[in-house]
Amino acid sequence: MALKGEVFMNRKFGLKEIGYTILLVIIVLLSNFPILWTFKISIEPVDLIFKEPLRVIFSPTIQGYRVVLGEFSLFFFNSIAVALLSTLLSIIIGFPAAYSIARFNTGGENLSFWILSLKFIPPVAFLIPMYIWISSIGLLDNILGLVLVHLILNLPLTIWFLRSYIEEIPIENEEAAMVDGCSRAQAMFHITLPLTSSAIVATAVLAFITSWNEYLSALVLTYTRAKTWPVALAQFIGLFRVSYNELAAAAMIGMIPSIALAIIMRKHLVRGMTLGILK
Amino acid sequence: MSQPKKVDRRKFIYAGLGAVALVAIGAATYLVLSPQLAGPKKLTLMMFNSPETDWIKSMAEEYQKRTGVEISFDVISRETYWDKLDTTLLSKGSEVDLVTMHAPMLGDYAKSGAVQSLSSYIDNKTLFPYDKEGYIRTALDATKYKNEIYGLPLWFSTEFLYYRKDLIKDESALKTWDGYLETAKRFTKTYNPSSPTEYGATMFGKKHIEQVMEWYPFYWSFGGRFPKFNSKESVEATQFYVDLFLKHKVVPPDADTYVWEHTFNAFKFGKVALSINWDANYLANWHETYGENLGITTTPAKSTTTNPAAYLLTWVIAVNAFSKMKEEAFKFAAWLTADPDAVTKVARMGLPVPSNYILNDAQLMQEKPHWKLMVDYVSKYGFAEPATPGWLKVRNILMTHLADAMVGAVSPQDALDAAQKEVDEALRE
Amino acid sequence: MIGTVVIFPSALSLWLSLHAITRANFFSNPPFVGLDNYIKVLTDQFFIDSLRISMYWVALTTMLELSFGLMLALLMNQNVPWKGAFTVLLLTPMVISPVATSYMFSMLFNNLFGPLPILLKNIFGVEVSFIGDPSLAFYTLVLLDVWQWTPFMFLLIYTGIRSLPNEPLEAAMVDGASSWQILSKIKLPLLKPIIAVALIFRMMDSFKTFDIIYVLTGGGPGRVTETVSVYIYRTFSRGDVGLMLALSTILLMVIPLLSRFYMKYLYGVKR
Repeated sequence: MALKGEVFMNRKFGLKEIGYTILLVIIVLLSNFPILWTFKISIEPVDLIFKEPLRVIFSPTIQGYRVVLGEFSLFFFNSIAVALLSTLLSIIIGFPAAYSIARFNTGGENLSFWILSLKFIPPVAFLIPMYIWISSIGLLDNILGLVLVHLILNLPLTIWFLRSYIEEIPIENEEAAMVDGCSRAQAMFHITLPLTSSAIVATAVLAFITSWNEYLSALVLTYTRAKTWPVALAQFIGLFRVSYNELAAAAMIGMIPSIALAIIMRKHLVRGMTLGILK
Repeated sequence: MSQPKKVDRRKFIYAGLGAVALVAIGAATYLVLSPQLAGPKKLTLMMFNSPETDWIKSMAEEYQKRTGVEISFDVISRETYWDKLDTTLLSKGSEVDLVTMHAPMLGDYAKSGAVQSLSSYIDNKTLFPYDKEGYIRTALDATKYKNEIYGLPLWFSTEFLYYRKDLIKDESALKTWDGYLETAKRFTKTYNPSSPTEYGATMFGKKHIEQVMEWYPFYWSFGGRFPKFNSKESVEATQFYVDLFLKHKVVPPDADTYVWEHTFNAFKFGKVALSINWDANYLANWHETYGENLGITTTPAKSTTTNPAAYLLTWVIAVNAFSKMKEEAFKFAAWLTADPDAVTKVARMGLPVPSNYILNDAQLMQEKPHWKLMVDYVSKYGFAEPATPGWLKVRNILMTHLADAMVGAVSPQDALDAAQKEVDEALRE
Repeated sequence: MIGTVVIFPSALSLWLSLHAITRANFFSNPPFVGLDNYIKVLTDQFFIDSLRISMYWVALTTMLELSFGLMLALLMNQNVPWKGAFTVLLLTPMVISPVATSYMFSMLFNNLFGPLPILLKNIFGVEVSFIGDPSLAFYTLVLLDVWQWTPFMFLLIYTGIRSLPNEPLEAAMVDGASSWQILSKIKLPLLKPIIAVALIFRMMDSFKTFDIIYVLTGGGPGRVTETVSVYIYRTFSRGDVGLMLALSTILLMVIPLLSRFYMKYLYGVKR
């Protein structure tokens, strides 16, 4: 399980190491406890949840999942569509933008800072303007409308990240290629792009997760057709049968794509984060 | 640096997948969007999550069978519904055709032209082939702004004092607020370790409109009258209200985070013995849980010589003025609330439509004994909010300051004084 | 290429122009009141309170997350097995939707039905209201945020540690330095740039936090958790659209300016 560049100290596996390992285990358990508890609730019969809150052993039921998946699969699909699209677009737009800032210093320092400072602003602040804007172009309750907004939320981070990464890559490779007759664009695609693949993956994963979990804009901009998962989840509160198990089931299902991505992409995540941060 | 060949292939796979995904999603989006161009007529109704939603949903199904018009429901969580209502109606968008709201709110939306005036529709026999007199007069009046009807009365609601009959044998103790407090103490474990319940009562403690509505019966029964909120009586009522939480602690310690579902569960699972709550709770399961042991009565009065107060809340269904299917939308709303068969049917399920058809239906009143009580209490002790524009803001102001008083950040006097100032300003606008 | 960078700011300016128009009050035919809204907002005690609470929030959450993240990263850097598995398992809180997190925790902390208060009562006989008690609610939310975002800090710092050059460390060990000295005199200074960047990122996001606060406490009890984000939302809920737009404009214009200076400073430190 060694990642590249790991420093191997003396291989003694003594008491200190065991102590650290135990500590890690405890921390992992503690930090995952809420998730495990939610899982328990998602398979628990509703009455038991309230009558015996501490009980851990019972005969499980998948009733919650059945209800949630039955009625709400559209919202799951919507979430995936929005997250995928906005991630892809943010990479497609972000990479060339980052490249141009890194290589040509487009817009100078001002542009870079301005893009990054956009991250500071609470989305609540542009709730109404955003709504009016999206409404005026007729993209309310539409996956594309939400994608547009998520793009604006994701792009600053994407551009910033990729820019730092690209700056680390020596320009000689591209210059060599151009001497050989490539145009700038070709150089960018064939040389720089492959080299930044880790960073792209890392950024893409972060963008996806952000978009997937986004709640406020989705709440305001969607109604019945483009509603996404977090908004659907919030709906479960107030059901008169107050089905906490359905809520928990919905929460668990909502976690799946993000966790799956994190697991699949973990190598890239670490590698990509490294250089993307150092600048 | 990794071998270029291998990375290139992976890049291709990713790019390929990405392209496929893009195309697939683009196609899917197009498909999702295009049915609205052709195909069956579809109305969108926006409501919040409550027992009533399910009942109306089944009526919508029946309507579809009868007329072929499909009605899709946008169900919002109870807490965020009001904000979503604002953005929807504010924006002059046409995503939603029908909305539900409280009658006092119609004034604001009518004034700004966000909801459609329905008077002309009602007079039109093709759109409204029913008897206007079917509606209970006061309910219909509550929907008027500048003498035009802006919504159809959908259901009316009040707050009862529910109690556990098996635990509280003597209802007379609950006739006054002092008696209420005493009883609550008796059922709070910190006062009475042998109490069968943890706490005496529930409260809608979270900073939310529903807290204001819970507070209204306190306010009115102590003598407070709209729109004066910092009168002596009002301060006294508010002091009593917050003391339940701050001083006497007869409610759970996190009651200041409670919304409807918390109070619902607390009572249902036997954690409290008393709950001031909505009439709908009866059918939506409390009766099923407790049967004969579910006691219902009016909210308490200040003393044995004064009257209790029954808060009447009328819900209406309104048509979005910018909807593209106004007449279709109206037809459904009219059918639901004025067609004798439809009304009786939905009433049977549990929805108290403010209709004379229900009042006069003896069997129905027998099936739903709490409605009989509701009508009784409201006609004797009922009060409702005025339908003036600006009332939306008034509620919001009350909500903010009540919440401050609730946690003891300010005294009730200060909170209400501040509220009164803002209320006066809001109503002047 | 350069053109693609332009799409995005123009979208932003579209908004700016849109909301400068509707600077005045309410629904469809708003009267024009000029700078009135700005004055109202800036003199509103609630707004000033929310600023103070936001500052406190950002400071507390980022400091805690940084400390814990750093400790975790150092721990992971030790000679422990199954690093990959541990890393992924530690990252889980970060990937969950904040909305789901809020509901999960509201269930956990509920005094009547939640396991935590019940356990506390059974074991220690103490009834604690995590969300309902005004003096605790803020810290409970901080705890929630720390739970969710420490993994982020951990990830950043950990990757930073792994990419530290070996020579100084080996040289120091050869010279007989203790691990504490290695840590403080060599590792930490080398990590400064990463820590600075991590801090910036986290501070930005922390200031924006809305979902968990609103869902769990709605800004309450009272107003103890009403940060700027929640305050803005409340203004909108009240129907004071004009005020809210004034607030947005303030934020959209002031924040880029402020952060420019702030970041220039941080970057100066780094280089």
